[in-house]
Amino acid sequence: MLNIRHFILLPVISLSFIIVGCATSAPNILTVQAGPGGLSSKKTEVNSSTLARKLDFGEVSIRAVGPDAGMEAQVIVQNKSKRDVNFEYRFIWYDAKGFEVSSSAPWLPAILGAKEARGFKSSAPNPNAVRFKLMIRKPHPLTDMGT
Amino acid sequence: MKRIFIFIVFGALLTLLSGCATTPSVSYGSAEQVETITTGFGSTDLQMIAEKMVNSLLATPLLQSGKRPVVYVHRVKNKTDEHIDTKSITDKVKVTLLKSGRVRFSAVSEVNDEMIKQLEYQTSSGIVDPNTAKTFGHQVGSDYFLYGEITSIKKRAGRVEDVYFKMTMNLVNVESGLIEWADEKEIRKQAKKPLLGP
Repeated sequence: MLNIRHFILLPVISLSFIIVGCATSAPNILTVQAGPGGLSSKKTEVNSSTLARKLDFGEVSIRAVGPDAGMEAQVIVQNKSKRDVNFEYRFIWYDAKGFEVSSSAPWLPAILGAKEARGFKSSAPNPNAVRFKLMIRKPHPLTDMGT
Repeated sequence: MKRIFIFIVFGALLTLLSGCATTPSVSYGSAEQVETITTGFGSTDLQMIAEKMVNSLLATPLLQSGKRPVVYVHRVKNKTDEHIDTKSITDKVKVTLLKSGRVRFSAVSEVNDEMIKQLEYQTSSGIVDPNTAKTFGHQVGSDYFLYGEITSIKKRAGRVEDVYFKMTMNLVNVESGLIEWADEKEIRKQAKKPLLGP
């Protein structure tokens, strides 16, 4: 019959359902600092180990497009799994003082086939940009496309 | 005792349902969030196109010479079977490029009548100080013009709907008539109707 354990167990179970059900997907972030000759340093922040098991940040390439121009960056994202992976990504650019210089940084949907690796490119919004973040996260759309 | 147990189970169930429930009331969302409400052309499609075109244009040597060429934005032809405000696409591209400081845009196409009225007012009304009045014949001629078109292919089979959008943009040298830059963005969207429901 019912005992005190049931009273403790039930709220714990329902709370865990609530937490799992309403969980948001925190992004994995690659921060890249550009130097005079290109890439200066990079740092990866893993907030979703589930996504990190599937997608990996690979080679980073940076080039100056013109004499007084900004940079163009490319990051290889590798799908390590044997299935297609849907995800969202966005680039955010910063100047030397840490101010965000991107006028907008929308999340964009992407898909990588099994074991596929592809370059994701972004051009610095203006010549002052020296650092960027590439964020990837699990699909987190506004509403599911039912119709 | 049994009644208490049932009560707790119902209470827990209620908490579960209300905890994740979406309220019908209005709320503000992020304009940067991916939108997949329908297969129709939406904000995320616009952002994807703008992102691709801006990245591509900023990487072209034409905008890297430091000369800040003047561009006239022509229209984007909508060749899809749905209503798309194509000006919002070119506006988004224009604003981002303008902020880069590497290009200037001519407003002639958008506010030509207003500019002519303003010039007439400044030169002919007698109200404006002649020393500060702007005169005709000093508008900057465009070096390039930007135009494009958007097309779509729609297919439906059973419960599945597939939509393919293709946006193409071109940058033409006004003097030579040559297309100096062109790029395209393809978007595929699919929706599956639920078994039950409308």
